[in-house]
Amino acid sequence: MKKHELIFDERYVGSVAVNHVSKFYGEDMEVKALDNLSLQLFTGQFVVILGASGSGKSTLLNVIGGMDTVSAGEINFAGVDITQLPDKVYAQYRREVVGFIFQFYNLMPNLTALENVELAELPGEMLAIDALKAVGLEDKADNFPSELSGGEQQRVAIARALVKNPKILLCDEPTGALDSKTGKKIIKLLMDMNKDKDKIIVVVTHNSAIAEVADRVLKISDGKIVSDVTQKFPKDIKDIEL
Amino acid sequence: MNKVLKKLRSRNIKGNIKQFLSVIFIVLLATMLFSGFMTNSHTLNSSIDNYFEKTNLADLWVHTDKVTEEDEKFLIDNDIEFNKRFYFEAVAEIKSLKITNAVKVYVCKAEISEPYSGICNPYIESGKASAGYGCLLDKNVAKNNDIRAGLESILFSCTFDVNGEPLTLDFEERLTGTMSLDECADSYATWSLVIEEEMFLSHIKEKLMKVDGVDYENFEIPYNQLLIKTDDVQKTKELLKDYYLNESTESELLYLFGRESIESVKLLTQEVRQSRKMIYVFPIIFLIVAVLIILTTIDQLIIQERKRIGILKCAGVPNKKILKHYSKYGSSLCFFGSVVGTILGVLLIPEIMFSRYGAIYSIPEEYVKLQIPVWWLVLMVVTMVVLGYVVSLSRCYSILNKNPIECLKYDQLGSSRKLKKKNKNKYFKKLPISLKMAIRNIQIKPLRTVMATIGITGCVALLVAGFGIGDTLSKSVSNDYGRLFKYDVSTTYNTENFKEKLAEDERISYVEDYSKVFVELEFGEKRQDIYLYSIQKDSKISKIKLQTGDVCISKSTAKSLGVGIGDEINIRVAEKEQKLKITKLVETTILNGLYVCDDYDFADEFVSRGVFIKCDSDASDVAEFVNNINGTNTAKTMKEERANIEERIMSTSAMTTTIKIFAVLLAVVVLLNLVFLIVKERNIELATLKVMGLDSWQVSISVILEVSFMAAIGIILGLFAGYPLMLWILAVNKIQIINYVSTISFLSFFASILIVLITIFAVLVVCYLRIRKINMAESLKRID
Repeated sequence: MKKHELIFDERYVGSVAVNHVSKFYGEDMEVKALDNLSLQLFTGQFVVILGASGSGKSTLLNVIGGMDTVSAGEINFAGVDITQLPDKVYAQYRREVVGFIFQFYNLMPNLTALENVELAELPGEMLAIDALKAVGLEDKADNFPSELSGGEQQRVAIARALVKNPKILLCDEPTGALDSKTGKKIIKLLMDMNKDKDKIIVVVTHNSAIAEVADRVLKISDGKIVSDVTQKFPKDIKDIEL
Repeated sequence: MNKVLKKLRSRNIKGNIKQFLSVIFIVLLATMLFSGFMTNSHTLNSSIDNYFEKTNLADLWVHTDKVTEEDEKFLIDNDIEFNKRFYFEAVAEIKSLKITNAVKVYVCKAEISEPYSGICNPYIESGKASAGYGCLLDKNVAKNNDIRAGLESILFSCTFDVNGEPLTLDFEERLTGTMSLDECADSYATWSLVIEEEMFLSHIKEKLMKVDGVDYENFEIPYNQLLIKTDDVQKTKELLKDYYLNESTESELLYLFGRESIESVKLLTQEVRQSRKMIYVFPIIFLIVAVLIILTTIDQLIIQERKRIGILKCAGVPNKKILKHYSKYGSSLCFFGSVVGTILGVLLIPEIMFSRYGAIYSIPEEYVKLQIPVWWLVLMVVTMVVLGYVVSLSRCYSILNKNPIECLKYDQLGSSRKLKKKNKNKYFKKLPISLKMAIRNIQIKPLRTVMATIGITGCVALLVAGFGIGDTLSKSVSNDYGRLFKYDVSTTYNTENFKEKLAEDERISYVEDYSKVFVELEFGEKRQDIYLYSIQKDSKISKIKLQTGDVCISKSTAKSLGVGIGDEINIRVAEKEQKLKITKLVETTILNGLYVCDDYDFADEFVSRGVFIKCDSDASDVAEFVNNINGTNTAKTMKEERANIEERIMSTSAMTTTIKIFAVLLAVVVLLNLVFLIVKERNIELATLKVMGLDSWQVSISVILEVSFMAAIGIILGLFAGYPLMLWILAVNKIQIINYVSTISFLSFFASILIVLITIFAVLVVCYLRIRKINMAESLKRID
């Protein structure tokens, strides 16, 4: 992977500052997905964003992850306003800084589990097979996604995100397509990924039960943060019912 | 419900507009080519029939040394409709413009004026002519040389037999108009001039008045040609032969031939035949390739609709309605494309082709009637619609047979189920991931792979065949003019001191005699009118090396007659017959016929004496000098002879050029269609790759590899298929004036590959830009 000019200020690595971000849709910008929203995320946090459908939670995730542009405002990561990055550097930001986990896994159907993880490998970081081991799927490395269950596919997706050791892990409804038991396993896996407290993990969900295990819970409505609660004593995953 | 379904259909079309447009465009291209060439063929056929009918083309031409009263009486007694005229060849000069050229002069009665009543009437394009008045020049000659009828005069000489001695008179006739003469429809090389006989006779008499001892008052036009209309050509021909072979007949028969021997009639009828064959060669191949692509594309479109079909089924929409709804997709796309294609084809292609014909032939525009083969075109549109309908219906039916839940399941992984444990060997594992993705995509979409490969194969094959035909035409012309015969200028002459005059020019380095005569060749039951050439022993001009007694026949003539070396043939010229034994074969392309040595005992019969000239300076200057020698019949440079032949095969070149353009368009549409299909189908995958931080090039590479792989296979297959396709086209498209020497140069293969590669590159750039434009957030929303 060719290196581009993405230089972070080491003093701020790990913090994400969303400053007065707005996102409008429609020809006349009539739909406000994010409305002058500001927030700061810190390394080591396990953040859950709750909100109804259309509240803007996925849009927030998308703009933080560099998947979507903002209409106004800025998003700072380690001293760099990522909204101003040129396309190539933006791609580098997504590749080196951000990990994504989707509701429907979004694995490449024609690549095996190992190859899917290999896609995200970065030099000097973890090996794909080790990432698969970490999610307990080393024996399914040669299977295609169509040969895996939903939970296994999501674990491959986690391994794919884990392999590059991202600073920010963004999860959009990671348990949405899974049963309760598997869902819990996935949340556990995500929490385990942050044992060293070196990542920001953001989980977007409409399942409020997941919020009980989070360090911080944000509630979004009409593109605005309506509640921001830091939980000093989050529950253990074993104690919740999804 | 119907209203909702209609809305759904129109929104689906909007959402998939590029794919729908590409299907429409492929249908349009295929039907346009087919309908265009078919209309062209019908129009050409009817126009020529119309032309021949209106100008009352003769069935037989009789050339004699003179037409006597006895001859006329014989024809009247046998109830044979005829016209007589005086025909001679000369070198003409347009006085004010100082342009000289060979001219065929026809002196005939006042039938040159309307209403036509004679045989072989010229069609007056501009100016006028009537009884006792008229001198008409070929319209194309006038147009090409900017000769203004009514203002310019034409100068030429004519030799008459006066008191038993030849007397050459110079004439200056004012051009009164322009015309088209069906016998001289290919007026490219030789001009044709029609002069009203009463006027010409009075001019002759004026000149003879000044010659001592000539009874100018009783001088009559020395008619030497009879034009005959008959229902039974063969019978009349036999009757005339018997008459002229009879010793008591005073006049001597020089030539007797039917329409098939008239060069321009031959060319026109051949043009019709060729245009008809063309429909069944290129456009049919194109149509087949296009139909395959259309079918697979519609098939893919319906497969993409699988989920919507499931939703409709779940919503309780009856199967019959769903079938009806989706079958309209294919049929309406095919209907729209084929109707527009047919209209464009009918309007554009005959127009393009006729502008080509117009440059070669003098068919009056008034006789050109657009003849639309309505039923054929309707049949074609109906066939396309039925094909579209059946494909949509069958694919939709197979989806409807599934459980609604199966249809509704997100199918991102569906197709990859086919992969199972394939490609897990150690070598495959070492391949780059993008390549693996490309190979596996090809594996799981065999139909699409076949579709794209067929498209590219067809395109490359058509291009190779098109270029190959160009090479063949070029080689065929240079085979005779350049390889077999190598000279600078050639001419025929009719005066004794011609060669002495020729020797006066120092630029001429070498002169070699040749002669030719039109003979009837007989072998068993087969007969053919061909040229008998006499060339010098140890010729320095020709590569056909002949010794005394050698009889060489061109391979194509030998093939058509079924003769070979050692066979004895019978040749007949005028009233004489001779048996000849074939000793050699020669590969000729245009100068087909028999070749004998100049000391052959039959050589006395050669009426047309000619010379091949080699010169040290510019050939066109020498040709001009030769043309100015009295008694020369058109001196032409080899370049001009080649250009003449090339001009005659121009319509074939025009057709192959059209096909090449359409082939490239087909490749563009096929590849774009393929790219749109892939990008649409793999939108989520590509967006995910982007989300993972791969740049646009890395995201595009697997699609590029996939398309390139199919294109490479298509190119390879197309290169193999191109040559046989070319041979087949040439075999189907055989024409009389030229015997093709099939060849294809490396450069043609290279050019075909290059054109396709440029096309592929352009399409891949579009593909790259399209992938770059993928909006990650939108694509991953999954609102199906």
